[in-house]
Amino acid sequence: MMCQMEVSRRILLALGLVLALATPTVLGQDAAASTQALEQVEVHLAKGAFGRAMASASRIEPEAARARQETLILYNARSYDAALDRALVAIDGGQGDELLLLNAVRASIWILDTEAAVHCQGLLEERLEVMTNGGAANLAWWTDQIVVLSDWVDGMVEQDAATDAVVGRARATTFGVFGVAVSVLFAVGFVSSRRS
Amino acid sequence: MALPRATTLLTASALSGGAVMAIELSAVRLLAPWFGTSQSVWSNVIGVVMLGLSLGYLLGGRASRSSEPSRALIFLLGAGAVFTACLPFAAGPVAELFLPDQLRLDSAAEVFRWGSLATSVCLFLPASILLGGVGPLVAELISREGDLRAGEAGGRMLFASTVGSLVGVFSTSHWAIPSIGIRATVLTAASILLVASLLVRLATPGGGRKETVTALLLLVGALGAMVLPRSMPQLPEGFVLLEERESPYQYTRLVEDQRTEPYMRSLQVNEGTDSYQSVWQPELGLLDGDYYYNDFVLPAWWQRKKGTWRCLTIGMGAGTAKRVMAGAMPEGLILDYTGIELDPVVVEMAEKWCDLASDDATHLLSGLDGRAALGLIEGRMDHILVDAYANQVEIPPHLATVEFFDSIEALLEPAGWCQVNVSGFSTSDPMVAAIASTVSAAFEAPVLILRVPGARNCSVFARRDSRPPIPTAENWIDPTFPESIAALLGGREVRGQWDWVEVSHPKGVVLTDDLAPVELLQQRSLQEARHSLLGASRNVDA
Repeated sequence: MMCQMEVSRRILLALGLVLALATPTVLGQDAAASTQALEQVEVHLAKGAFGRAMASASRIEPEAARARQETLILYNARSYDAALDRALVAIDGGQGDELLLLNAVRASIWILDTEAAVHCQGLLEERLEVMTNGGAANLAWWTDQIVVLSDWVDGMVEQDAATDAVVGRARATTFGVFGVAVSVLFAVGFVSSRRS
Repeated sequence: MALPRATTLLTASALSGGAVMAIELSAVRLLAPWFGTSQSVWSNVIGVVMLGLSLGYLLGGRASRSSEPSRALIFLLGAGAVFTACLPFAAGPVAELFLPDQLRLDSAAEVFRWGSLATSVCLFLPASILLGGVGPLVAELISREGDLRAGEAGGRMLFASTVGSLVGVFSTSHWAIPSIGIRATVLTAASILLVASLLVRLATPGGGRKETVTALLLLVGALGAMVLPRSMPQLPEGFVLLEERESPYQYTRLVEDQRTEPYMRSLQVNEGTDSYQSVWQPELGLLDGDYYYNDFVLPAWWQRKKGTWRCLTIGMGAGTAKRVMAGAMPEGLILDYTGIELDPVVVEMAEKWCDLASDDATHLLSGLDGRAALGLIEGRMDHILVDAYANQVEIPPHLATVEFFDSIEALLEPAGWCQVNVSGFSTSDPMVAAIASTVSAAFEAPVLILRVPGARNCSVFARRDSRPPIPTAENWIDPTFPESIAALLGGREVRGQWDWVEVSHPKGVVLTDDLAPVELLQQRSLQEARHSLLGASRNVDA
């Protein structure tokens, strides 16, 4: 099944290349439209017109760039769960770049979704390694961001662990005290029946 | 000195029954500052006390076989008194064992359920077991004393005990807790148990003086302990306690956040989490931050009315809605405000600390239930706000039903607004969806749900014989709106920030007076908030 999927993906990729070579004009128009849409997104974002920014973003190609922009818009509109949802769909489709991952981690911190935060933070750190090896620009800025986010995510993990520990302690105490009470009562009953 | 034994024993049984009820009713309120007073906390406390009593019946039954059951009775009453007297001081340290340092609302349900159960078991099980043993011993002693049959002795004991319980219920709820507070109520119960122990001791011939002196010393100790402070949750650094009060409904405190200027005050009831019921800032108008109260000004701006804006708030709290609206009304529109608040203590504290006062344009209905008080409202309203909560996060079921919203609609002017603040984590949250669907069914009109950015609240809007605005519409942010109102609406038009419920397509359960499973929906809301996005992230791993 996996082999068939891999073959299909290669065929699609090859078809895509053939199409790209065969229709440069159409693709060029698409690229221009996409660039224009991207510019419009920036303008709308600057004005705080998030609905219009989303409408413009829907015309951005390819999907990875669209996902990045939509996540960014939703994050800036403070619709954090929608931003994370959008980012996770993109990540699920193998589309996540560093900017999308950054906003995904930030959004998951806002809505206190520890599991999503840990997952996206892990992917972001992997991405940083790739960027480091590739000698990407702004490496210091990205490293700083990841350190800051990492502190937040670690705090969330610790808080969740503390909560789980407290619930575990409460369960153990409940059953423990109940068990001791019943045992003591039976012991008292047993001793007094022996005496009588 | 020997008292008449049968009468003394029945009196002891009645005193014990009353004390048990006082402990049971105070128990939930003792735990409230840490775990709230939700249905699950009530169930846990009652369950633990019943478990303790049932084990105590076994214990007492076994002890009644001894040659001197009166000694066992004196011990059980005395020991029960000692355990009871410890409750106000042990509640805090024990409860804090079962609470993390920081508790988020989305984790609260499980922590409160298990934490309150474990705390109840530690605090209330020993005293309940001891006091459960009182009944069988009294029955045995009466039976031996008057040569009565077991049934007759048991009947007399149960009569005395139940009458005592009855007095305990009414005096605790209606007098003791609101008048003398939780600590004094519990210590009074302990003192009553010591008195019962002492009476039995005095009615028992041949007893030593040592036990009498011990009981008297304990009694003095319990009465003296009433002046000691009750253990309470610590406030975070930078917060100052302005006032705390017990009311018939809840533990209430007013705190001031002095970390940043301007100082903000918040009213908290039974708070075990980071939530609040009302906030106050020195200036009138929109609050600085992500507060759902700011949404309360929107209908006045959308309506474009001149003259008077008659607004009724059900669940006024400390009057935050009034202060926000009063400072952010459109030009030419004057606010005429009526607020209904169930708890008079909240209103008294708001008058003292939050500048709440009655005047020609501010009408305060204190001590009235929101639904019952609707019948007292004269004339029609432009805007009815429903912001009523009980037990921290629970909407009272009778203020969430189709029948209730029918009454609301009948009080509105044509095209008037109903706005409900619902605690929920998204527009598809089970509680939010249920309230929106219920309002839609009552108004037979579409309903707008707006998420409050950065908060755990959604605003639900409906209009009488009309429709709320749609966020995707071109005129969602009217260019004539001031910057502050435009900023309030900005960003609300994107996915996840709003939803629309049509009558024909309810998105949740429609709540009725007959069936309003609010507690269940609230639990699902908290659970889904914790797990809603985990599925998506797990797919990535797969």
